[in-house]
Amino acid sequence: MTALTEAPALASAPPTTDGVPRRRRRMTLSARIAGGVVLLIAAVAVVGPFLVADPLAGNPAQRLLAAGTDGHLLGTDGQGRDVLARLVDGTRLSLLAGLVPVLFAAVVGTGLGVAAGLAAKWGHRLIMRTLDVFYAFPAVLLAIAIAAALGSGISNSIIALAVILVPPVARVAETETRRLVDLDYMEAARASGATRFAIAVRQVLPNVAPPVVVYCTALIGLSIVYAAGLSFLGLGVSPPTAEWGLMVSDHTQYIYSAPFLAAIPAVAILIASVAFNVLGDCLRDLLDVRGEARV
Amino acid sequence: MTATETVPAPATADGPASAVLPLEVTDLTTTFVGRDRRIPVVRGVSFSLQRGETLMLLGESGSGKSVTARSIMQLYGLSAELGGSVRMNGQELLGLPEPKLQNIRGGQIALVPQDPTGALDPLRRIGSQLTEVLGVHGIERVRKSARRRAEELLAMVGIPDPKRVADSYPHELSGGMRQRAVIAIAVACDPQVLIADEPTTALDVTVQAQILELIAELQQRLGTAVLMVTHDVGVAGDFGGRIGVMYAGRLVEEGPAAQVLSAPRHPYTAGLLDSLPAPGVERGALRSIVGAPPGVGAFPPGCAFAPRCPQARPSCSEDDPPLLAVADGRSAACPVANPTPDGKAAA
Amino acid sequence: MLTFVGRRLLTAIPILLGVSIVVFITIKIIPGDPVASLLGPTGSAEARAALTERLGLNDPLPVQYFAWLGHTAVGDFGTSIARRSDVAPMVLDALVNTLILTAAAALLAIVLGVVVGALTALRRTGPLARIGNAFALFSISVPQYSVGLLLIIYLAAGAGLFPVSGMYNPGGDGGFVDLFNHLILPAVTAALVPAGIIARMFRSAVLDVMSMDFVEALTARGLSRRRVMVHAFHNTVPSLLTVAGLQIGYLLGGVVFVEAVFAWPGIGLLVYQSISQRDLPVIQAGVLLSALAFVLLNLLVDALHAVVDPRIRT
Repeated sequence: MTALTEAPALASAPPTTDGVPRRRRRMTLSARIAGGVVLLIAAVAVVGPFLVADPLAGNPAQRLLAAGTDGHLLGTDGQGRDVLARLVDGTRLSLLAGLVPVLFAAVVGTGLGVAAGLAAKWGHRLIMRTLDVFYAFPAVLLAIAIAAALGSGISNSIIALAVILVPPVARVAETETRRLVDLDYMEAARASGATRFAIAVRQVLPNVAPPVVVYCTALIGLSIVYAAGLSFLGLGVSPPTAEWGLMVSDHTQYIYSAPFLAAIPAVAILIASVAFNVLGDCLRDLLDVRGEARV
Repeated sequence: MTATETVPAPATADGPASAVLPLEVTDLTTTFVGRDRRIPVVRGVSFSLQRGETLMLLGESGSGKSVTARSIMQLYGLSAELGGSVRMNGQELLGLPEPKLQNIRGGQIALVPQDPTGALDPLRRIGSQLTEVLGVHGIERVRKSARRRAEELLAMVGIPDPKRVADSYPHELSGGMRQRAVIAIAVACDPQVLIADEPTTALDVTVQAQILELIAELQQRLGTAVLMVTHDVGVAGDFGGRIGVMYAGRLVEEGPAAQVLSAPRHPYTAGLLDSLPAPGVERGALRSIVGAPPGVGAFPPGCAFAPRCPQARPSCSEDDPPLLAVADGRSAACPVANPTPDGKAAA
Repeated sequence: MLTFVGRRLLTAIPILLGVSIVVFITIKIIPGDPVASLLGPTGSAEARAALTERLGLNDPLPVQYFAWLGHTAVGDFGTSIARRSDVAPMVLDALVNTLILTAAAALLAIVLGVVVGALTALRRTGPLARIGNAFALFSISVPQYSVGLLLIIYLAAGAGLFPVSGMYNPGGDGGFVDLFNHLILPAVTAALVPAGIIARMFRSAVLDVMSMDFVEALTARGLSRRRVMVHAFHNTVPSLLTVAGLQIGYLLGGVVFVEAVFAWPGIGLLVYQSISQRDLPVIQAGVLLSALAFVLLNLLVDALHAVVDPRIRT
């Protein structure tokens, strides 16, 4: 996985095409690993809950069992519930809580960004200045405040995260749209009498999509961490539902008696986040490679 | 092999004639090295420069003219392998240790790059960039006198208010002023050789002539030898001196500018001139050279121009013809221009 | 220069107004009756009506907003529902604590990020580069709350090297050494994510600058490699400043998790505790002050930017 970050060797390279094939090969390797992990997580989220024991069924006689005892592969938690079952069962909610805000932000942010980029001066100002207001808040704190205002519950945590993710996505889309508007072929499209909406759909969206997709892929990792963080603070799902962030905060109580317990859901969050971040990096590099080829 | 054979060099008591040539390049090769590929870009280029003389390296992009200029200054570090010989006053420069090279770069050989915007550190005032060079080369180490010298240099390159420009950042100057400042930095240490890599390409047409004039004037005044790289036949003709025409990493023709441009010997030079519009010539009369120049590193065997040459012979795609003297002070790398193998010109 | 800062200050005003509107609305959509929570379950109907009138809750929303804005502008944030005391001093103390933690974490993140970023840009192979790249990748992916917990487990609780929580030892002298000991673990935890982001950004900034023409031009002037690098790094400062500014802003919010884990008495912990108590005036003031600090910080970064980069000083 680490091989990937060596990939973009841009500076002071001699004018050769050399090394590009190798770079591509390496990238697809890390992309494959990351993609594999993401698929695995997705598969666990879909079918996992059917394969493991009841995540809510606890046996108080079997509290805090060490990993591997009595068929509990990852041990049991403070209420004697199987940790593996809870981890697998929690995948679905943890993933959803991270993915849905990004999807929402991708759609709304792209819409706002493209609209701002194509709008007349006052429209552009109105949209961008409004977004600036949201930029003025420290993002996490704003999410916490919104989630707190709406009350706990997974849908509220999703709304809170979506609100803080829209402005940066919109900025990416706006920048890209602005860049396109300055290009000649947009002039040509306007001159040929295409309406703004037609231009937006046919000319702008296909070009804005790649950078937005790359950016959003990179946001998923962050969003998963934040979503679990909101649960950790008690703003996401409510107990006894299995969810990674909630498990971290739940296991924290036993930090002295079973120190590894708190690390298990944390590692799950880390793996998911790393996988999406690597995937985002690979997408970005692929896009850069394509950009080079176009020149 | 070089055209200078026929030019009598002023001999001194210090040594052989070649020892006092400010620049003598012999069979220079530049090969870019990648992880698992080697790409030859300059393939055996030889020429020399007298004191105060000008050589224009004329060629299309990818012909290796800029790489030749940069190879002389050894700016590629480990990414390129250099072969042959580059001598300055008889001293071999290739393979010199880095500290000695640093003294020569900017001191005895200076570079005026193509784009004056990119050639200046955007975050430093012009004056500080000048005094830095003066200090590094030990010309003026004292701050006050370095500053005075910097202003003198700016005045010398025709900048009307040197004090203000010295206190300006590059972005506050016009393109022409920036290029003047770059030239001031280049001539700060009174170099023997000035390498100008397309010094006017990035400038407005009206400013181009002024910059060329400035370079010619400085050359006169300081006795600097100038190696100018250009793709512009017009610039080459205006500037005078000698012209070396490059194609596919080789020098294919060399001689006095006026003669080369009026009566080219190499078919490539002839084709290049034919493809230029000139006053009085109808557009339809323009002919372009058939085909496209070979990509860098993808040179055909034999003469690289043979596939496009209207006068190519079967032997042309087997043997790469050497650059041979074809007339007084002129040479060409073509059997058509060199009908006799002993190098004596037929025409 | 001064006009530049002045203009920036002017643009900050509408943004701050927008911020206040968002905070006001956020509080207004919160379910629950502030009057009931202030009076408690025993309040009579007359008392409720009187309080509602006194709090201005019968006024139309814009009137309420401007009344609230007026109080806020002079530092009157109201009374905490849970603690029955003035919100302003409470929140100000917490803000100072948060700023201490943020500053320490920012310093760590910038140093770490610059070192790792420069290292991975200049040496693209070898074990050091691998470690640097792995650090940059993993540190941006870690959940801070977990890292904090692990540090507590192994370094604080386990090895007893550092205090587990808080800012000062109870009964201690409250001196600098005590503060420093308490600061290390939270600062390291909070610094990880921004350090990774700064490392990645700085790496590409270095690569960008190194591929710029002036590096070759400077070499051609006869400058030593070291001198050329000084010029090159000077040219990375503007982008470093931009990234660092963004990341410090991120820290201001991101420390909530860290404060919650380490019981650091900052804005984050205060807001976190007020959430469970539904202590709205405190949440409101905390978020508003953080945003204010954030906007001021951005102004500062803009001004610094103008100092280091003459191109934007107009």
